[in-house]
Order: sequence, then C-alpha cells, then structure tokens
Amino acid sequence: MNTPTVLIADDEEAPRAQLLAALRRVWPEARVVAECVNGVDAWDAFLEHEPQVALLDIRMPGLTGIEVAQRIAGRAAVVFVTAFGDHALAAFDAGAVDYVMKPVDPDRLAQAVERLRPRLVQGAALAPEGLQALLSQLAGLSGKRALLDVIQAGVGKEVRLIRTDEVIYFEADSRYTRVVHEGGEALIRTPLKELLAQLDETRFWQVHRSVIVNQRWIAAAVRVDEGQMHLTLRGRDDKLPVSRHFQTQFKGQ
Amino acid sequence: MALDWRTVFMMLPKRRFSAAELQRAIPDPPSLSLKVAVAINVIVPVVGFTWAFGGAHRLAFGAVLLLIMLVVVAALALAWRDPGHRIAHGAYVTLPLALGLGAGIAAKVVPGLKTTEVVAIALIAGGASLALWFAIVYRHKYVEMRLAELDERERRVDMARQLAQAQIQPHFLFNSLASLQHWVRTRDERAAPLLDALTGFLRATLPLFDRPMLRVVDEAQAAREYLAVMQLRLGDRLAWSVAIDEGDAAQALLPPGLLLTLVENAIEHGVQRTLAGAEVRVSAQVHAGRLCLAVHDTGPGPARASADGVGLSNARARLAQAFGDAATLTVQGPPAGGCVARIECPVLLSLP
Repeated sequence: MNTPTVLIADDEEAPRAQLLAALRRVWPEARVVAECVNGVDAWDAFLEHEPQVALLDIRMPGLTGIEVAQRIAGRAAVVFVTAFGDHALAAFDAGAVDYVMKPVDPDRLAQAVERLRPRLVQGAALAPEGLQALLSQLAGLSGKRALLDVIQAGVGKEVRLIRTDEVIYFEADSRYTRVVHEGGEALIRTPLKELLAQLDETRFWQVHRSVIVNQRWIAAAVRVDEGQMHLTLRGRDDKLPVSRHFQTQFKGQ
Repeated sequence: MALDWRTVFMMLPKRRFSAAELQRAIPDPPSLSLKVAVAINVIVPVVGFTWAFGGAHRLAFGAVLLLIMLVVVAALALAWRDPGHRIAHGAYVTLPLALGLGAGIAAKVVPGLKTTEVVAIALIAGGASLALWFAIVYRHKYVEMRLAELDERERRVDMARQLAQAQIQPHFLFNSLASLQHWVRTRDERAAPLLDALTGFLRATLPLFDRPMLRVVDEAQAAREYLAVMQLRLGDRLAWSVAIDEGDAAQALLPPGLLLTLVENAIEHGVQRTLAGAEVRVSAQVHAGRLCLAVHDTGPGPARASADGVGLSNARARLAQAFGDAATLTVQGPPAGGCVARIECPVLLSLP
C-alpha cells in the first residue's frame, strides 16, 4: 500500500504546528508533503505535490481555505480546520463537509482521518457529491477580494504601468514573473501564485502551475498526445503548456 | 395641499394599529376599577336624568336612556381596545347624529314627551360624543407612545446583545487558545506572555458591558492587550503602535467597544488578509475642541463599494446614540494605501 500524502495549511504558526503534531500522533503512516502558511502557498503546493489529503484552515490570506478547496475540486480529500464562530460551520454541519475545530482535539482528528481513509483507495471519489456547489456558495459569502487593475513593472529607471486588460499571459520565471502584454514584456517580483489571488478568475485562467493566461487571447487548445496539451494564442507564436490538472477546462461542447 | 376630510370632519388620528401592535401595547383587559368607574358613570346619569326629567312615560324614558348609554359604553370599550378602529371612529360621528335626529323625531311623534326629556337625550348625545372623542384621542396617543417606547427598549437590548457579541469574538478566543495550548504543551516561552495578554484583554473587556461610557485611555488599554495577543500569534506579520495624547484626549468618554471594533477590523481586514502582513497605528488627539480617534492599517485598503460589516454598523449606531449628529465615523483608503478608520466627536469629560 502506498503512503498517504497530506498537505496542511494554516496562516498561524502555533495552530499549524499543533495540527502537524496531532496528525503525526493519530496518523503516523501519513507523509506530510507540504506545510503552507497561506492560501496561495497551499494551492501552489497542491499543484506541486498533488497530495491525497488537504487539511485547510479557512481564514487565510491570499486565498481562503474555501477557495483553495474550490480549486482542488475533488482531486484531494479536504478536511477544514477552523475555530468556533466561523460562518461556514453551519453550512458544514448541513453538508457533507468534514471539519475539525481548533484547538485541535486528537480524538476528533483521528475520527476525521478514519472517515477519509476509505476514500483514499484507488478510484474512489475523494470529495462527496455536492461539495463544489456548497463551496462556491460559501466562497461568495466571504465577500469580493480586491482585484488588481494595474501592474507596476520596473524597467531600468522607469516604472511602467501595465493595465491587467492588456496582459496576454503571466509566466513564472525562477524568482520573477514574466508579464507578456500587448505592448511587450516585463518582469515583476510578485510571485505568480500571489498574482493569481488578485486576478479575475473568469478572465485569467491558470493553465499550468507556472502559467496564467488571459482567455481573450487563447486561440485553441491542442492535444499533443495522451496527457499533453498546449494552447496557441491569437496572432502570436507562443505556445503555452496546459498541465494535466487544467486540461479538463478545455473540452469541446 | 390636499384636504384630509377625515381630519376636517372628525379631528381623529389616522393611524390604524395591527392586531399584533395592539397585543403588544395593551396586553391586559381593562382593570376592574375602570369597569366600576364606567358603571357608576352610566347608572348615575340614567337614574338622575330619569328622576329629574322623566314625564308620563318615566319608565320607558329610563329604559331608552339606559339603552343609549349601553351603546355608548360598547363604542367606548371598542375605542379603548383599538383606538384606530373604524367602527369606534364611526360611532363618534353617527351616535350624536342618530341621537339628535331620534330625539327630534320623538318630540314630534311621541305624545306627552316633555321638552326636558328631549334636552336630556341631546345632552347625553353631546356628552357621549365628547367622551368618545376623548377616549379615542387619548388612547391612540397612549398606544403610539407605548409602541415607540417598546421599540426603543428592544433596540437597546439588541444593541447590548450585539455589543456583547462584538466584544468577545469566539473566533479570536479559540484561535488564541489554540496557540496557547500548543505553546504550553511544547514549553514554548511565548506561552506566558500570551496568557498574560489574553488575561489582560479579558479583564479590560468584560466590564465594558455594564458601563454606558468608557474613557479613551481605558479602551486603549483593551486595544493594547488585544494587539499584544495578535502580535504573539502573528509574529512579524504584525507591527503596531498606540499613541494616546495625554489630557483631554485620554480622559474623553466614548461608548465602550468602539475603538476595539476598529482595531479588530484593521487586524482582520488589513493584517490577516495580507500575505506579507501589515502595520496598525492607533492614535487619539484633541483637535479644535473635537476628539479624533484614528486606526490606520497598511493593508490592502477598504474594498470598493463594500457595505459595513456587523461591527462597523453597530459602532455607528452606538456613536449616534451617544452623540447624535455631532459624531462621525469614516473609513477611507488614502492615496498612499492602506485603510484609515476615523471617529470624530465632541470631547465629553463627564456624564451629564
């Protein structure tokens, strides 16, 4: 049997450490592949490590735990970790969502682990039915995030203002993010995973862990072979890779 | 301007009350004393008038008087239970008309009817009309005021409940306890200062409930303890300062919990939602005779076109209750970034 892989995320150090300690005690065979300090880290680490289980705090900067779970979209079993008084609790009680309260009680955590264990068997559905609908409802409750209108890119001695509308795609490039826009290219220091949380997701589609593209510029999604896909852009030669996780959003109607 | 004919002819209030409003304002039936008083006011004139003015048909005259009085009492009882009732209002107009007309016709038709008997009936008609008008107006005013008073009382209770909720955020408490528990168990040296700050915060906040007003310096102390707890929990994601000018700015009175609500908002929306963390600066000064309290955070700034949360709308209501229009609470995103929540109000040094 393969080792279950787990991602944990909490923006505060002590609760994160406590969760980790409790998890090690009640589920020693699990391997914690990522300890994340905010929502954008959690989502990025999910894409990198593809864990089977994600234990997510709800109130986190960048992306909330709810929004991370929404993006995971059933590709990992999600257990929320939250403190009493969270607005989402009532919805969780009514729905099929598993959660543990902070301070984490090891017995309760063991119970949650017991409950998700059968779901980790090959081929089983990792998320209960209706979870996505519930999550999008909850994500709406927490209010709109501030969206980025303008990107400020330093080029030599000047700071160029690039309107997000004019951006064609963003690409992570080691320590920088490459911004390819209608008027050229620029490098910015803001990591791609942080930009993601400040862009309108209906217009900017993430297609790869390191690529976010303005959907207006997408011409076609081309399947190269089993498991491989890339995007061609309008009037441009660039080809952008689409990783496995994001291929499902391109399906003929 | 259109004439309101009801007012012109009847001089009666217009508002009607729903059954629920009446039940709320007048839960009890008329008292026994009131019933006895009404009975005396029926029996004495009937007996007196019959004895003094009765002619040949004295008994019939007495019976007619009694009947009239009973109808008047029924209308009065109706007005007492529901001063907006159509029939009660109608009775106030139709009763004297019907009685006057009836007495006039009877004077012509009934042989042997004395003029004094007709006058007695006319007197009773006038008296009944006056009594009804008075009962309706008085009772109407009473119900209206009682309803307003009950509304006000409910609003106060509601506000106190919201205040209690605003002060002890369970989410804050349990998250702090989660950190504390972990640090105690792992013998982390942050456990003791966290416990101190949390204790200080509870000690400073719990008495807030019983006091109508609190000095800025006391409220600032609660804010300091709160920030100290958050500092331990968030580490270098939070930087903070509290600067309260000495003198009037420190001694001025404010509804309790206002400053704390603004600080909690700055932490929740400014610091905890920012990946890199942020700074919170609290200040209190007196400017041109007005108290200026400001909570500034360097977070993402207020969301465009966002509505007030529960905490903020509650804070506005409490501020308005204490100072009326003389106080303002504004939340702005200055051009330099971040968010500034500002309270400006008169400097109140003692309760009147």
